[in-house]
Amino acid sequence: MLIGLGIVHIVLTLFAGPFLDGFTRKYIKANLAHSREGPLVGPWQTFVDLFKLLGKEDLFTAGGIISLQMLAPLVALSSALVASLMVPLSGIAPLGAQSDMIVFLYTIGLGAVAVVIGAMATGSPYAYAGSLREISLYLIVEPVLMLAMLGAMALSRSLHLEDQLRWHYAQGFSLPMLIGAVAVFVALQAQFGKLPFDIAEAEQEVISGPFIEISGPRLALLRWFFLSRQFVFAGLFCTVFLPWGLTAYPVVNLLITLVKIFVVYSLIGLIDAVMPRVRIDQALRVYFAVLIIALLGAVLAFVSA
Amino acid sequence: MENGLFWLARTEGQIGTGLMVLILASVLVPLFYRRRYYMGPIAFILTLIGSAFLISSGVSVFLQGPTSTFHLHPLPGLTTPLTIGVDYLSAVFLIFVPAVVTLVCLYSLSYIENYKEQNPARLYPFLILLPVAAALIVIAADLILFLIGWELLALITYFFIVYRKEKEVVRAGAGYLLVSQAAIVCLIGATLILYRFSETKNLTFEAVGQTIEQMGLVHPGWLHTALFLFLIGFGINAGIFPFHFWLRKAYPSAPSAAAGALAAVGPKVAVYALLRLYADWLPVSFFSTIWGQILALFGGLSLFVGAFIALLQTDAAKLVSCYITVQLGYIVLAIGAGVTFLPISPPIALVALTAGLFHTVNNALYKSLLFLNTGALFARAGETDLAKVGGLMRVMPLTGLTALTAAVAIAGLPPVNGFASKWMIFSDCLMAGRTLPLFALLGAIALFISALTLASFLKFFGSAFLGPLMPATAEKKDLPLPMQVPQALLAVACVLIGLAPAAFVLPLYQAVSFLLHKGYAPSPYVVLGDSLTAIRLNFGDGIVATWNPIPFLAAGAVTFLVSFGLYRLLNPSRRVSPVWHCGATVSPTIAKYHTHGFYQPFKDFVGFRVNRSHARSHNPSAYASEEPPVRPITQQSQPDRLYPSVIRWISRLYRTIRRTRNGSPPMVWMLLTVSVIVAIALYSALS
Repeated sequence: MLIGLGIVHIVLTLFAGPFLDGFTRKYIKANLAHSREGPLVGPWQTFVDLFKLLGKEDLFTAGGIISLQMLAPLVALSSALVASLMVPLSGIAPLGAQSDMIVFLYTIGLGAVAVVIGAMATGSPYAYAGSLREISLYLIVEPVLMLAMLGAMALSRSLHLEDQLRWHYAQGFSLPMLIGAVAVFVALQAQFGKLPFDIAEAEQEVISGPFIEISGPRLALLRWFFLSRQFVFAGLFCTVFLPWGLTAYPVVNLLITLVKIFVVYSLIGLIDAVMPRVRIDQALRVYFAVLIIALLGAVLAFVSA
Repeated sequence: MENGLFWLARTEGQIGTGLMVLILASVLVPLFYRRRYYMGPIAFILTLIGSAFLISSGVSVFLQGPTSTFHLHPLPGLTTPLTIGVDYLSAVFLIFVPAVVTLVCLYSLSYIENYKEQNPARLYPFLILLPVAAALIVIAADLILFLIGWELLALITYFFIVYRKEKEVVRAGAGYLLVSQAAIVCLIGATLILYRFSETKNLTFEAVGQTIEQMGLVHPGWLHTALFLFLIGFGINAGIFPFHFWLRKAYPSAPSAAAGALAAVGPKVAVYALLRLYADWLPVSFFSTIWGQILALFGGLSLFVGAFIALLQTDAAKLVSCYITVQLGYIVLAIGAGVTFLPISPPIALVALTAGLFHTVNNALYKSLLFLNTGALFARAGETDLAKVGGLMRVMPLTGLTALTAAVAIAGLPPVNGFASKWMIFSDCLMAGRTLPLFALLGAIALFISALTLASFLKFFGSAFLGPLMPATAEKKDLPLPMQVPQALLAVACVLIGLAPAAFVLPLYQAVSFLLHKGYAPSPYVVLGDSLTAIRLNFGDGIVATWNPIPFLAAGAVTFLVSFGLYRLLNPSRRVSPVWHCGATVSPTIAKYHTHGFYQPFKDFVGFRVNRSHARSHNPSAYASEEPPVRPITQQSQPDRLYPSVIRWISRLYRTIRRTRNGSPPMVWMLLTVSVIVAIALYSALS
């Protein structure tokens, strides 16, 4: 049964990430915020982009390490998919009993590391610049997520995401978790790589950063990794931090979670559509403030536990 | 001792034979000082034989149980006998230390050729004696033999540091000698205090345990003094904050191979000593709670200080040396958590101590590997400055792969060994934080520092092995086989331990629980789970954390195939094209992303906490041979002469002040402190 659920998670992650991205591009960004028609195929535009890239010629750099350039997108995408198996989208997760929140954080981190190594392996200085921005931001955004999850751990007395979800649902409203949820929501904007924090790619400044020398199917896989990662983080946020709507039926739970994820995507898309990009030093300052808030929540959680 | 074969089947016999072979080898090898091509292979083969005996003795302890203590003849004038005893904890160190040193010996066969002007007869004997010193420390069952082992280790380290005979290297060696002797003096001072309060005037470990127990009841002040002196002595050798300053000078001065062997021995036996002191000798009492928290605080501070200093390093050897402090910070934090919780919650305490020991073993493997990788940089580029090397993975792909494995392991990413032990430390600290919030804070710091470690080693790997191939690279061919094999074996060991962590953790749990009273430690099958691959932590109220690498890898393999299927879906063609530099043709020196500029936004952001981070943002030395692309500001004409002179005055004043913190004066302060301590100890011993 867990294997079946695992297949559902993988297919859902691969499918829902691009779909929700296409949806926000068409209906939130183009129609709502910019008052323009947007992509003609509606929410399917991201899929069209991905499949177009899958058929293109694959260019490797002559000065780089070809094996690492080849492996990086594959490892990145599979790490996001494995991480999706750890998120209890339907109240239970396929790998839920075999992993915990630390394993989850590191698995999803593995994908980011693969992207950075793949980018550096091309040998382009622009790829270095973009990747290092990504890591600089990661160094301050990651602790936010970590501290919020630490609060959840202190309250539920378990590192398992499923236990945290069940505890939070049974407990009802809890102030430390609310603070954690707010902090994580702000952190999601950077984890999604959306404006005002799409600093790593920043087309105008570092010419797509890590992706500059990556093309064709590998670019498609990397895009797919980022889209999957967005879905996984949104799923984590909507289950552990907003657990309401948990029933005895996994299918119902899954549908309710998807509705919540849909709302979260719309909000993040809206922010993306109306904000300008900030500089990396400004972003670090913003997230430092968020870090303090998350720390407050974690302290509160440990005090009240 | 009926016959020789029977003697060899016993643990003591194997240790004795191993030590004899190694000591003889260290005498024999320098005789070949005129024939350096024979010296290496002979040294390697003899080390292999001696180490094999030591390793088999360690394994036989796990198979046959610990040996009974064994008294040698006492030294003249001493009432206390020299004693030898091997328990599970010693056995752990008897297994991994000789193994790593043997691999380093193999590596040195070719590596030593990079130091043409030095005779290898000044390196091999000490490399061979290194496992002897480590073995003496771990098999000693009385304080005198234990101190002899420490002194031997300090001398070996000194000879490693001064191998290159250059001026700054000799200075670093003198500095190290001062620091290490200060450590030994602290240990002697503590020993004298214990001797004074010992009723039987006996310094065997058994007697020391009893003495400490009595002192805790009658003379708690003296016990605190002795524990403090031991902590300084072991702390200096471990290189934890605030005794971290010597590492950055000493380790990069030694040849990278020797530094690799040292990294697996020096700080690691300090961990052995800390475990012996706080978990074995110190009774489970009020003292454990106090000193455990002190240890944990030292560990937490080491994490912070080490990682932030490392952020500024651009030299590979220095970067790796800084991470000795950080990694020891994790270990000391874990041991501190374990000791604190000994009187409070046995499962949390045992898991923490086991995690500390597990991290020690893992760290010995990947830290040595990182030093060997640094040696590989030196062998091919003649340079360990990350700003001047680059693209070396194209020259030595296997070494690059092992460096990537080591970087992933030290950063603690799954599924390599570093992750398993770090995961245990994090989980334990976080769960301990529910009782004592201090540990939650330290656990959170540890998690954050783990991200910084990742950043630092991405810098190491990305600068040295990826990017454009730099002109400094002398020979564009792969390393000789003796240098490749040890690195590959260490990398394989890192991966294997990561795949089946529970199989390695269970013996370590046994080693740690043997130190405590019988029946104190809960069953490992309850606390850690009964699987050989998965670790399921249970501190008494259900399973709270799980790490199971096998389903993780199975899922990884399936999703990797899915990703590959997507990649091949439309059957794309492949082509190789040159890197695009916005249309310009640039030399590798310009195309390389500057190592100094790595994480500059982050460094600027935390700059108020990191000394001199802004000063390091631009390094003209990388442009030494070429026209600098940007004219430095200092060359512009100065309209006013007042401000520069004021600035010069201030900066001179600043430098003067800084020297008291950073130069040799710490040594002077240290000697002063030590002499005061010795005076107190002598007074206590003689009164």
